[in-house]
Amino acid sequence: MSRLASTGLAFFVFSAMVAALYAVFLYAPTEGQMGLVQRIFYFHVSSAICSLVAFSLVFLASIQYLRRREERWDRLAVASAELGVIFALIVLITGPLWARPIWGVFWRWEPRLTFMLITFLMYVAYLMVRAYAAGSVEQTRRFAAVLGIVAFVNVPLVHFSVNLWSADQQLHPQKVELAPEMVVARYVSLVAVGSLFLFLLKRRMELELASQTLNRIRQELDGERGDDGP
Amino acid sequence: MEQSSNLTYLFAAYTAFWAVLFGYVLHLMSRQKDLNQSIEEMRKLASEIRRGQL
Repeated sequence: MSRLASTGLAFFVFSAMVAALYAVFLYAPTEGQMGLVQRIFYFHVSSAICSLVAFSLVFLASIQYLRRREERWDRLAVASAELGVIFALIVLITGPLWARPIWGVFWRWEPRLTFMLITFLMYVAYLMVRAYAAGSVEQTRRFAAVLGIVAFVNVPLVHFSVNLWSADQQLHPQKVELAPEMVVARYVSLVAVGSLFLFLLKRRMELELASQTLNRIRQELDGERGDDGP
Repeated sequence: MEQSSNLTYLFAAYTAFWAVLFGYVLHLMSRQKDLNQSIEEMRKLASEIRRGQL
């Protein structure tokens, strides 16, 4: 992507974020039962969607890496996993802050919360495998790709858990009804957080490319030095 | 009273959102800095190899 396109994307993210904050705090009405705290919903849900999209990208990129062994798929997988963990962390922090005044507790072991936590921990494990696994780079990438595929099992469970369990076994609502202004604020927030996610994903992938290139040059130089040496 | 306590949770949630993202951007910037430093070291090493010093 050219520098101009990159600057354009950054400008779009900034504009979308300003629009989202306006929509969330000034345009959308205050919800009758929950009051002000319901406004957490807009960025909480958008972050949750971004994290699940990121984990789905890890799954697809891992399959492609195992099929083709091309570094670009590995770059997409690691960048997506890192961002998925960041957005899942946001969900796991903002969720309890929303839950406390509404449900009376910060945390309860209900299906969606539990699956979200498990998913978060599995992708933290994925990143730890990438960072600390012994063995060659190729082996680590292969192992991480397998883990990236296996960990994806949780993603549909997070999404569908509210419908898989009965309403009395969970705190998340099975159906959400919003005023039209709230629906607008929800989509504007999703565009803003989604574009921020794409921007960070692009930057993270560029960083990974630079890191991979540097490692390759280092290996070549080490080889050259070794050949010329005594 | 309830509204003001709700405001605290709302403030905390949005602060957490920006704090986590800001922390991540700082982490990326720090990695970029390390990478630039390594590139500089590589450049020096490459020029030394070319001059036959190693």
